[in-house]
This record gives sequence, structure tokens and C-alpha cells, in this order.
Amino acid sequence: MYKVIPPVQMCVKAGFIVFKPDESPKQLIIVEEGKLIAYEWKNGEKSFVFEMNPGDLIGVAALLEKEEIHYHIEAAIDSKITIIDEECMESQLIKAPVWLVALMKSLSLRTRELKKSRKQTRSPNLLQSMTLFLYYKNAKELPLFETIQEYCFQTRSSIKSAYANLKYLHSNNMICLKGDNEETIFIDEPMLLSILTDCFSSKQSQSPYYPFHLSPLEKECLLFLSKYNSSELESGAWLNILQSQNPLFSASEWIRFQEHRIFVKVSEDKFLIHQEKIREVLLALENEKNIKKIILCN
Amino acid sequence: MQLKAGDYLFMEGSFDDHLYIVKKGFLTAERREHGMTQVQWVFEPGSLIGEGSLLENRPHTHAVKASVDSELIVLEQSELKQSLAKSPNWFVSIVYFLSRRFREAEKKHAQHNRIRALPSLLFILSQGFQNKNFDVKEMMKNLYFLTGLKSKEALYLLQILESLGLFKIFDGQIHHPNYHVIQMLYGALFFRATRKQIPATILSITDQLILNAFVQTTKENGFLFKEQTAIESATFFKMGSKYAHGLRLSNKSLDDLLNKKILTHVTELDSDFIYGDIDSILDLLELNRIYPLLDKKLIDTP
Repeated sequence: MYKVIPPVQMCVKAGFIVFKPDESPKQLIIVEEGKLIAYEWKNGEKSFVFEMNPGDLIGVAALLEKEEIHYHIEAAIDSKITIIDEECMESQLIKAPVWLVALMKSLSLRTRELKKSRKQTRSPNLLQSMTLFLYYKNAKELPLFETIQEYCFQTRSSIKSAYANLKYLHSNNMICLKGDNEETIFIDEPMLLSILTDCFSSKQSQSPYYPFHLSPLEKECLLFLSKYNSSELESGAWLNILQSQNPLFSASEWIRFQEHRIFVKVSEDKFLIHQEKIREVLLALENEKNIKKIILCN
Repeated sequence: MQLKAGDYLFMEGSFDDHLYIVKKGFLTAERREHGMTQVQWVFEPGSLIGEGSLLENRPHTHAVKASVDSELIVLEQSELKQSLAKSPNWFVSIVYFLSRRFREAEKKHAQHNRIRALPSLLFILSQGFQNKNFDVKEMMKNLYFLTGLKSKEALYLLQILESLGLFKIFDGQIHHPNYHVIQMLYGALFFRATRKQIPATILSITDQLILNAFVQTTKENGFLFKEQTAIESATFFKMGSKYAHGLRLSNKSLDDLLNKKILTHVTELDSDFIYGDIDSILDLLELNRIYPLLDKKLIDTP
């Protein structure tokens, strides 16, 4: 039968130094009554860090995670404290059920992981994030250094990774790095960046990217529509026009075109070709091989 | 307890006062974000699931699903209570302290993510309107892809900006955005972060009072000059003081605003007047109203 080593209970006077880093052994301090203050020495001056009131404790990380307490702890007023040292804690941990010890360690570990992750970037996919950022910059030409700096400011990504992603987009013809030291980013076709981010989204949500699932008939009709100068027409009139181009064009293709905003409804039964959308679809098709390669590798 | 691959142990938001210990298999903590399932943690044999719910009766923050056939040991809250009842008070304090600290860390983590994502939201808002995104959902999705900010936190951010008067949200859309102020706010945050200095657009209280006096006095006594608004210096100094809460206006008090080229002072032969672009000045005053409130709101939001 293990015996629990009892903790030390102390009544301390105001000004009493309860803990000194590097000098005091590892311990956990609980304030029962009174008030303690934590401070550190900075350039020879005592700098207040926080205060501890009844019920507060310090040193959990020191005992459970073998981390040091970095602060001096002093009684601000006459106080009553409980000190738990390593031996005392271990004697209690041995007595506690294994799952309870595991619970305490798990809480401690996950708290540490959360704190650690604050310094890391949270973007789910840095290449997608960079692509989206460049798209939003909405410029044909961008200075490399300033662009990376701004992107890193927003995402907390490292300069190295941001640059690597720019190089990757360059090598896959999405952007172009030019200049003696590749100091300028050229974006010939900003819409291509928007297409790439949409493809990433489709991949993540496991939904098909519409332009890559067009039938040959639909592609043919889109090419026809891209050169068609039109005004607002009723659905029947559009069906006739498209059937005159290819008799196999049916109502189901017409509905799909509406769903994917190839046509936009402008009044009760009047539709207009959405030329910008058609341009986007055709651009995606033109770059299909390249885009699919990027999506597959990332 | 046995779970088949694909079975859910519990869903996000559900209440459950059990603690689970993975004996065999693997489980994942998942969260749905914009139609995608994001795996947050993987639980392997020996891992614990549901600590927060067990100790503090909080709803689960994630759904947990078995990736493969798995076996779990289930502990009731009553077992925890019994164990703690047999433990000394100081030990119980430590257990609850750890739980509280974890909850605080989660809260700070969410707060930190929100603060970090704010510039990106302003960036998207200022650039996005010129492109295609007016839709709140679309905006939150893009913010997630850019910064990883979860939709719940993104919504908090949008509500904070709305409460500051930068736009209105209704019918799932963003309306009447103040582009210029949004852009200036983004610029100010970027400048502050990269240069570690106060941006030139952030004005002292004195300068804000002077600009306010300029706006008010030019309403009655202003005239157009180079498509901007002007006022005779003598009139401004005399009339402006009442709008500047007793501040005595003089050539010297204008120095900072003249240096920043927010106002221009013309002294030629028989004319002596001050002019500035009233729209830019109003935006600047709006920026300076919002800027100090922003940090407070970001921290205050739970």
C-alpha cells in the first residue's frame, strides 16, 4: 500500500520569497489565503508579471511537464500556501487511477499543443492560400519582395514557403517571375488563379469541377456561344439557336447551362449569355492538363 | 465499447459526460468547414477523448469518428467524482485547474486566430468587392482558404466590423461597405505590423479635433478651391475653436496635418486660406474612430 506524502502548508509574511527560479526545487504552489505576486528581473529592475489569489496555483507545468517556473514568487500580503513537491505529487499520482493520471497528462499536453500552434500558419493548403492571395491582389504586375511580405503578414507563413509556392506557380505557368533576380511577379491571366482556387475547393469538398465534366456537345455549344453576339432571348429561342448549331442539344443541356450560370435570367423568361463565365470555362479547359496536375500533386 | 470503421462516437455540439480511452484502433476528431471535413486530431491507442465534457459539462467541440474498427473503455462521470472524492483537496484543485487552463487555452487560441485573420478579412473585403464576392458564405470560405479561420470565428469578425459601421449584413450579403476606410484600416494594420510604428493615418486627438473643426466650419464658411474645400485661415481659427472643444487654433497647431498633406495652407499676396479634400478627411476621421475600438472589440468578443 502506497502512502501519500502530505504537502507542506505554510503561513508566510508579506515580502517572503516563496519561489526563486534556479534555486528552489520543482514545486507546485497553491494559494489558500492572501495574495502572491509573480515578477521577473529585467535589466536589474523588478518587473511585475501577475498576481495570484486564493485558489490560484502555479507550477503545474513544472511538476507534470518538467518545465521550469521562470518567475520569482513573493507574498504580497500575509498568506497561507500549500507547496507540493515532486515526491508528494508522485505519491498521489501512484495512488490515483491510471485513467485519471492520463486525463491530467492529456489536458496538459493538449494545452501545450494549442499554445504552440499559435505560432504556426493555419491555412489548410498554402499553395491554395497563395493562389487566392494573388488573385485578390488583382494586379498584372507585383513586386516580389513586398508581395511575399504582405502574404506572410496575413498568413504567418514563412518567407521560404511563400517563395517556394510562387516558384511552383511559376513553373506551372500560372504566374511568371521576371527580372534579373526574378523580382517581379507577372500575372497574365488573373482568372486562371481564380479557376485554380475553385478547383482546390472542388477537390476538398469532393464535388466535381464543372468545366472538366462537360460533354463534347456542351463544349461545342460553349465555343459557339463565346462568339455569339446576342441580346436577351426567351428560353425557347435559345434552344432553337443551340439546336441549329447541334440538333442533339436538348432541354437537359439547357438546364445544366442555366445551373452553371452560362446563361443568366434577366427577366421573367428572358436569358442573356454570361460571356465572362464562358470565358472562365474555356480558360479552364485550355489549361485543364496543367491545373489537374497541380491539384493532383497538392 | 466497440465501434465499426465510420461509426461516430459523438457529434459536434452534443453533450456527453463520459470519458473514453482508446484501447484499440484509431479515431479522428473532425469538423465540417465549408463543405469539407477537416481532421483536427487523431486518437491512437492510449489517447483520451472527451476530457472537457467530462470535467466541465461542455458540449463537444468536434465530432469523433472511428477511422478503423476500434475498441474504447468508457468511464462515467460518477467514477471521476468518486475518485476525486477520495483525493486530497489540493489534487482536486490541480485536476480542475488543468481543465480550466485547457478551456482558457482554447478560448485564447480562437481569439488569437481571429486577431490574426482580421487583416486578411479586410484585404478580401477591400479587394473582393471589385471582383465578385459580396456573399458572406463565399467571403468566409475564402477567408478560411487564405488563413484557416473557421467559419464561427469569421462570423464573429464580420459582426465586429459591422458593429463598427464598416458595412451592413443582411440576407447573407454584405451591403454598403465603406471601401476607403476598409482599405485604410488594412493599410494601417499592415504598416503597424511591418514597421512597428504608428501609421501616418492614425492621428493624435488634437489633429482629429482640428479636422473635425475644419469639417464643421467649412459647412457654413467654405468655398471650392481646386475641387477641394477651402476656408479663410482667419475664419477657421476664429470659428473652429468652438468645434475643437476649446482648442486654440493657429498656424502652429496645423503643422502635423500640413506635413502629412491632409490640409494645405495657401498664403499668397492677399489670400490666406486652408484647404483639403473633405471626403478623404471624413474617411480619415472615421478610421480614427474605429481604430482604437477595434483592438478592444477583438479582445472582448468571447
